[in-house]
Formats: sequence, C-alpha cells, structure tokens
Amino acid sequence: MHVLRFADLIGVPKTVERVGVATFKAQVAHVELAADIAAAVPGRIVLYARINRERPENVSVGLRYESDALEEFTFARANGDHGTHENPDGTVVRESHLHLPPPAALGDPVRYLRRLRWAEQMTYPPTLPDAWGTFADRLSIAPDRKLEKALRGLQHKYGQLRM
Amino acid sequence: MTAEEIVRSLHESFGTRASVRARQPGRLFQVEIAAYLADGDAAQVYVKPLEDGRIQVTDLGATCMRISYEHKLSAKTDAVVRSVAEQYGFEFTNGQVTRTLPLSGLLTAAHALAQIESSAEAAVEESVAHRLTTTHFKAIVREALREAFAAAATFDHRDPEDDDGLYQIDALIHGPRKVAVAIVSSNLSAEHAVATHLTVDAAMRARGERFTWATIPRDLDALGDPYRRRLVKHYDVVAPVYDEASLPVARRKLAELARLPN
Repeated sequence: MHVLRFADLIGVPKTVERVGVATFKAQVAHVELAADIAAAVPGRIVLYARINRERPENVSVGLRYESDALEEFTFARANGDHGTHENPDGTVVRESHLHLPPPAALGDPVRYLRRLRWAEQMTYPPTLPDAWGTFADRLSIAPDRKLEKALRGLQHKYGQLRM
Repeated sequence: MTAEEIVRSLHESFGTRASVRARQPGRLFQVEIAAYLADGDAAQVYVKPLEDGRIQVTDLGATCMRISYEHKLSAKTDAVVRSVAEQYGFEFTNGQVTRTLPLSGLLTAAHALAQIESSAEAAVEESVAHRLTTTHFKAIVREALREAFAAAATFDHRDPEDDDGLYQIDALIHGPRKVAVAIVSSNLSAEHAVATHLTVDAAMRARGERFTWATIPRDLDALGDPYRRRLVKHYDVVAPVYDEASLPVARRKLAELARLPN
C-alpha cells in the first residue's frame, strides 16, 4: 500500500472541482469562499480563501485535508499582511508568507498537524487574487477561471483599501 | 485626535518594544509587540481612535479566524473565546474581541489582547480534544496500529459464531500469539468491550482456541469506576492514556503480548 506523505499532498496535481458561495466567517469580520479540490490522493482536500472586511490586506488562502483516519487539518496556508511570523529556528518573515509543513517533515507519512509552524517569505501583494496565484503555483493547483473570477469579485466587493 | 498624536502616544507607550503601523491613517493602527502565537504568527492587536478621545483595542476577528483554520466555529467555540476575553476585561461581540479605554491604558490592553488570543486558541484545543468521537478515536488508533504492525494487524474481526456481527473485535495482532485489541473511548465502549470478551472468549474456549485480550483506552481514569474495574478485569491495559508519548509503549507492549519482535 502506498503511504501518503506530506510531499505527496503538496506536490500532487490538483484541480478545482466545485466553487461554493461566499459566506461570512467569524460572524461578520471575514468573508470566506470554499472550493472542493480534486487530487489523486485518498481523503478530501478543501480550499478556502478569506478576506478581513476591515483590513482587506489581511487575506488567507489554505488547503485543508480531511479523511476518516485523521482529524482535519490545514497543510498549507498563504497569509497576506497580518504582521510578522517567527519560525522555529528564529528567522522572522514579514508581511505575505506561506505556511507549510516543516521541510524536515516532507518525507514523513501524513499525520495530524496541530500547527503549521514553518513559513516561507512570499512576495505577492496582499490581495486574494495575488495570494491565490502564488499559492496555486506552489501547491500544483491548475488555473481555474471560475475561482479566479470569484476571488476577484470578493476582492472588489470587500477589499477596497480605505485611505 | 490626529494620526500623529496617536502614533506619538503609541510610541511613547511602547518605546522600542513595539512598532506601530497606520493601516488606515487616522482610523486604524496595528501595534506589533513581540508576542507570538502557537504557530509563530504574531498576535494581532489593532487600535481604533474614537471620537470621544478614547480608543478601542481590537483583534478585528483574528482570534476566531485563526481558530477556524483548525476547528469549526460554533456556539461552543464562541463561549470559550468570550470566557477568556472576559477574564481580561475585554468583550466578545460580533466575532471580535474588543475593549474601549483611555489611550493611557493601551500598553496593558495590548499585552492582554495578545494573551487572550493565545489562551483562547489553547482553550479551544483542549475543549475539542475532549469531545473526539468514539469513531474518530478508533480511526486514529487503527491507523497507528496499521502503521506499527502492517499486515500483522487486521481489523473488525468477527467470530464465526457471531452471526449478527454484534461482538466484532476492533483489531487483531497476529503473532505467535493472537492479541485481540479493544479500542475504548467511553463508558459505553468499555461495556461493549467487556461484553465482546465474555461472548467471544467463551465461544473460542469451547472450540479449544484462545486470544490474549488487550485494550487501548483513550483515558482509563476518565471511565466511571464500575466500567474501569470491569475493563481491567477482562483486558490487559497496554497504556492508561492514549497520546503521542504513550504510543511507543503501547506498541511495544502489544508486540510483547503477541510475541512479535520489537
């Protein structure tokens, strides 16, 4: 039996299967859009994209893994500019960053991860379409027009920077 | 209150221990203090100046948003966040943790909000861990057994005389001796394990066969007294609590019982 490893989850080609409708999250502070992801792995992968209504540069795009054997957990998450992040080795990344399982764990069989302690510095502007573009490249998710249109719509509706 | 006044006041409060960023000049500021949450992200502390000269310190919903990365938000998670917030004199309203106060109280309030964000995450983790369903706990343990024993572990063993499948054994470890494993997460599942042992063991003995009986409880001490007593009377407990630390112990003990190499 093939053992599913973190590197498999990250590298397996993925396509967007079904895009949901935008819903309020954490009452009305955030808006979330979720989509089912198809990939040749056991279990289920769900994508979520969120934007903070009062701080629209505070976006996040993540992939959650769900299976019968494990508690569901996020295995990759891109954040916009919510401030700094400190890695376990003490390095600090600022502004946009991408949380992933630590490099040393990529060859390990998939297990429940309570926290994504490791993050890489990213350079995308903190908007949902930009975060998605970088995230999709890094996580091997094929472009999807419907999702991209929905994310642009969310950014336009809720993400106008107040100056 | 002008943006400059706010920034100057914030700098006076925090000195070099923090940075202040005008997220929406004159309207919203982010205070960055050296307070990191469990995943290494900085605590999110925002300040809004109010028309009456006071300020509102808020998380802008970040606490609940972060919790929702790993747990479904519900009335229960709201109650946990509210309880933690109120311990520090904050309110929880519309998904946001907030407190309105004079500018002079900002230093204390900012550190309190960072503490709330950290404590609320930990408190929700703890509350969720206690309501892992029986099915979910069994799935986790089965996966661990599959990883530890590979083909030497089979699951949902049904005795040939158990016509209705009422007394299935959660896992069977196949070695020179066969070990029947009951995965127990509640009083109810403990009772079912005891009934399974009594029924299947009797049928096997009548055929001149026998298993060694072992149990993996989620937390032996959490079971009610009569259930715990009955369980340990019929089963060998390989580890009293199931967690990451006890996993190697449970694995070694099961291997010993099955007389498999460790």
